[in-house]
Amino acid sequence: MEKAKRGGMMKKTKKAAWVLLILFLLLIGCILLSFPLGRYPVSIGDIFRQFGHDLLGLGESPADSIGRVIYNIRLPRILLAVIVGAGLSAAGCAYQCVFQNPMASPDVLGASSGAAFGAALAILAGAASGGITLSAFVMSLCSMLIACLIGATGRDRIMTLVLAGMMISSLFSAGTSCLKLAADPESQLPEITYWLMGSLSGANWRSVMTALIPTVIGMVALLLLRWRLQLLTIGDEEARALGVHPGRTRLAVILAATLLTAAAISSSGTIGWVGLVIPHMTRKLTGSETRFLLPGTALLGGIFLLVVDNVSRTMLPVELPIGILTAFIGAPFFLWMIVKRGAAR
Amino acid sequence: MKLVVDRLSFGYPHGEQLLKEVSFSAQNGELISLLGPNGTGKTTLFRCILGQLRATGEILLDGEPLATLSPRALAGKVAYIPQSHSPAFSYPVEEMILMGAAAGLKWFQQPGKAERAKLEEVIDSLGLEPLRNRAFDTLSGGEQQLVMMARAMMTDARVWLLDEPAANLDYGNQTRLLLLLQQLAEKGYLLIQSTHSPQQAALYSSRVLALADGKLAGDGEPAKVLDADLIQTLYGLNVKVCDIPSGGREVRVFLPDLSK
Repeated sequence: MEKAKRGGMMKKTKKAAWVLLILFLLLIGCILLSFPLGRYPVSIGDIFRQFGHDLLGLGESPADSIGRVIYNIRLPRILLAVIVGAGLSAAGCAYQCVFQNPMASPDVLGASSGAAFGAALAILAGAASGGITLSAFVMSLCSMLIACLIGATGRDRIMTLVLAGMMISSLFSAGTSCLKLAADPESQLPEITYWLMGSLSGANWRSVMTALIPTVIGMVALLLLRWRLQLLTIGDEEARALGVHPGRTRLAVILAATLLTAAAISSSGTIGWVGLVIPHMTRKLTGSETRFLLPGTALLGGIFLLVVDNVSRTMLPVELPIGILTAFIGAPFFLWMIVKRGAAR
Repeated sequence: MKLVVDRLSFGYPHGEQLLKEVSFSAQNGELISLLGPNGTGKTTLFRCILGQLRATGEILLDGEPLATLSPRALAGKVAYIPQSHSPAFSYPVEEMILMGAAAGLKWFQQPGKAERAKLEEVIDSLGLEPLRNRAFDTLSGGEQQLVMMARAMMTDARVWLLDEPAANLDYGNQTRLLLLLQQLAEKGYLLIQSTHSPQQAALYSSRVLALADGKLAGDGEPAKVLDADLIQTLYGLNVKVCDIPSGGREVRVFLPDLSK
């Protein structure tokens, strides 16, 4: 009897755990399969020989040139794609929970364009990479704050927040355009313009580290807060009656999620839509419980951006900025959600 | 356990006074029906007790002023059961109930063994076993009410404020829910439910609190307080009142004047 009683819960927990394991293995697989892609031929065998030699001291290492391609070009790019994808998706998931709004995401709320403005400002001022991240974080927080304040006023809070975010987005984009006018057309302007398109092609170890550290901090914070985050989704009044301080919890989650957004955007430009699409797809796989949803979203986000980046750098002879590809996937998805929401009414 | 509400007044700044010197005291074992027309301050009274609105006057639980308690401590003493609940995301019933454990857990803590053991007890006592793995948003209104009550049970609170718990239910579920509330009161809970139905109040509750224009217009046993005058004061309606013997006591029945 006892066994049968707990059977349902075990089964469900088990299913979600399996999903996480499969996503993890899929991520590892995608990472391995991404190494051979690119102009310089590197085979899967080369990868195993290189890592086998360097990590385990087995066999001989392949040619130096292969090692250089693997370590200096492919590995940083792969890592950056995974970090940025995981960070943006987890941030989107967190925003959706704190605003009890399935249509929230870093770009919809204006956090992305705020971060882009902040980063452009820092580039213009000639700041180092740490300064760019910090400036992106601060501006991103500003845009979130404005969107939250406006979003709290409307009657249909879901739509008001989305509309407020779009308004803030275009405001900050205009600001970024102003900065471009002021930028030095020889050096800063190309840097800002290219980076605004969203691309991982500039990946190197420095950009990996710049993205990695804040991403790890934000991600750990979100994972620690995962149950509180879930409590916020039932609404402020009920959460408060259950003894949760909704204001403080929300602030902590927004800080962490905005840090993730700023890290992703300051290292690789505005890559849109990931934070909207991925949490949705993950919710279908793991359910809404944050203890499965958050890690699942991060894993799937990493896989998604890695695959899209692989497509963007191999599909055409010239590299497509990845932001263009994610927009081609994300924008129709967003439209579909709005139509579905309308139909559900 | 004793809840004392002493000269409670509340009004928004520059707004009308919503509660005017409301005083009553109640103890465990009571099932109180809070009656009153729309907009008369029933929800405001609940929100004052829950510490969500700052009112003047005092609310004491066993002599302790509720206003001095932290939200966490308060959540362990007073539970709120909303009329309906539509979360933005869908959770399994178990997970919804487990959220009631929040007050006992620190910022980074997750529900553990102790909380899960308690979950089993709560599920057993409310007979929610068949529903435990269903998604909350696929349940009927009555089932959702039960889950909300299970969540309140998880909090350890002995005072429950229920916002029109039977309003959205069909007749059968209404009756079952109110009988369940009676049982819970007998087990030592203090239940205060707001309701729009004097008939329900007369049938099931041990006591009636009537609010009109933010003032207490009646307080006492249904058979003593709920008369044609009070219904007239509350709802501006002429009713005929009959007492019908049922189940070893007189039950009061209200018949609206049908002549016009």
